[in-house]
Amino acid sequence: MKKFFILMLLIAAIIGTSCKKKSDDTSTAPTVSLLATVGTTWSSGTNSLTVSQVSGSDVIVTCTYGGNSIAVSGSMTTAGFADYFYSSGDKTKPYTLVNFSDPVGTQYKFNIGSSQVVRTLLSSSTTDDFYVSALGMYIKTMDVKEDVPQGLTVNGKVTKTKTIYWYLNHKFGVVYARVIYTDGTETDIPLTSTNAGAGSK
Amino acid sequence: MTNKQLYLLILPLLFFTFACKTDHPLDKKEAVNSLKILNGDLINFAVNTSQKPWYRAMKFLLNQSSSPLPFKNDTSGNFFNSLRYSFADKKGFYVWDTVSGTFVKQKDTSMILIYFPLPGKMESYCKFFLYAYEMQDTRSRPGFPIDIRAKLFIDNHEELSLNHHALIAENLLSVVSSDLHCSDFHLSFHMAREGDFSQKSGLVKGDLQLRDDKQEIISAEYNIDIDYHPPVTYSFQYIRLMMKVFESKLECNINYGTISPTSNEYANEFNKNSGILIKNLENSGIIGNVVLAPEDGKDKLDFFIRYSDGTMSKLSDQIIILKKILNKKYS
Repeated sequence: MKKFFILMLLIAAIIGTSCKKKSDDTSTAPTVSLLATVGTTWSSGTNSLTVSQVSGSDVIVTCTYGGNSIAVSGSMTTAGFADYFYSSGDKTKPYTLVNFSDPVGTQYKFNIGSSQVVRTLLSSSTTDDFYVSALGMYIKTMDVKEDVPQGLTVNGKVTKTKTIYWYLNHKFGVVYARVIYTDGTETDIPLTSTNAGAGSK
Repeated sequence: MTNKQLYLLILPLLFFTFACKTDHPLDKKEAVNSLKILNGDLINFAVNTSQKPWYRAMKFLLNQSSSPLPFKNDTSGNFFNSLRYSFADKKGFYVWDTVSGTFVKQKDTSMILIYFPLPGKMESYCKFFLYAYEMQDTRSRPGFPIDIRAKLFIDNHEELSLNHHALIAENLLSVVSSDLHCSDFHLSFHMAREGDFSQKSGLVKGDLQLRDDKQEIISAEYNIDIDYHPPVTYSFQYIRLMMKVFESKLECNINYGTISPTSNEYANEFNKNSGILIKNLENSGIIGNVVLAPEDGKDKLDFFIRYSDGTMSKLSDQIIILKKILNKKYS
């Protein structure tokens, strides 16, 4: 469960409570999420993700898992969220995880040499149909599938991650993730506690 | 015409003939042959190396789940490919138990000492010493080894010696110096980073040499302009790489920072902002340019070699190791 926690919680850290769909409010420019506050924390079991630095819409999140602790950068606005993981922190090259106003089927692609990461918006709930025990309620989710290219090198080794399913909410961030590895095994990563998005949804 | 006048006429001609041996494009047939020779040399080297006793011993050690060593093959899924390793917890004297098929700890020691029979030659005995192993966390990844000292003995003869040292500064890898000596094989690698988070940009440079007892197999130098992204990490902006592999040479210049990874015209952007050339050093011939292009009938991009006549071949169909280098993600 902890094995893919770091990315899941990173994305959770860059979601705002004040997100609005672009189509609902065309007069308001995207703003920085209230979740981008130093100290905002998400947990999954004994692992955690904490916003440790904020600069405008950019955040640095300290991720602690299995005894390891690393920092990952990302950005978020009320229009959607992205990360700088694949660009190694280069803020001129954000990689979109989701834009709230995009239609189902939208694909976001990131090229690294001849490898390509693809994120696909699979579905967008119209009713509160996904239960999150950490929140004690049903919420809507936007579900994104991330296909990791075979042979991609991460941390000096070829990654064994094949696919990641992200279950996202505009207020709480990533509330669930499922990781499928190249050997066919799967890991489920639920959100077990958070101080993010407290209050109404 | 006197002899002196004849010499004065001929000598400049001879000089220019031999001095101006500039690179020239090879025709496709010559280029393909050059690649076949290079591929053959690499395969021969890989096959010969895999048969060396030290290689067989290390492969065995790193493939056993009961091995107390770091970097062993990890069959469990882990996006960051990193499990926390504690040298202190693993110290001890281990022996291969043929009944259980595992390494069994016999007693505590100040290092890791492993005794095991040489795979494929049970009468030969191996002793592996890991004298030191120390990791240090960096900001953007779980950890990097900063001190490794190890030796392998087969039948009490030193077959392998590894010395690796690294420095971390501002939570980023700053200096690396690694030396691997085997009985007939030597690999060295160096890396140094210039600049720090107080500056917008810096430089990462380094070199690598691989040689056996007969010849230099690989020598490479790289120089990469980087931009710092405090307080976490840095990204590549301009990559320069020169690599000699047997009698071939790869010259690589990539203006990486200007290439948008999310562009719909990514392949064109990559090719426009990069120059990757493969040369044959024996005849000063240019084998071809390496470019990104879609595979026939597919959306997927791959690296191709474009020959002097404009036709292309998939790089992985010609040279496997070059494809792995060009696809390597640096983080």
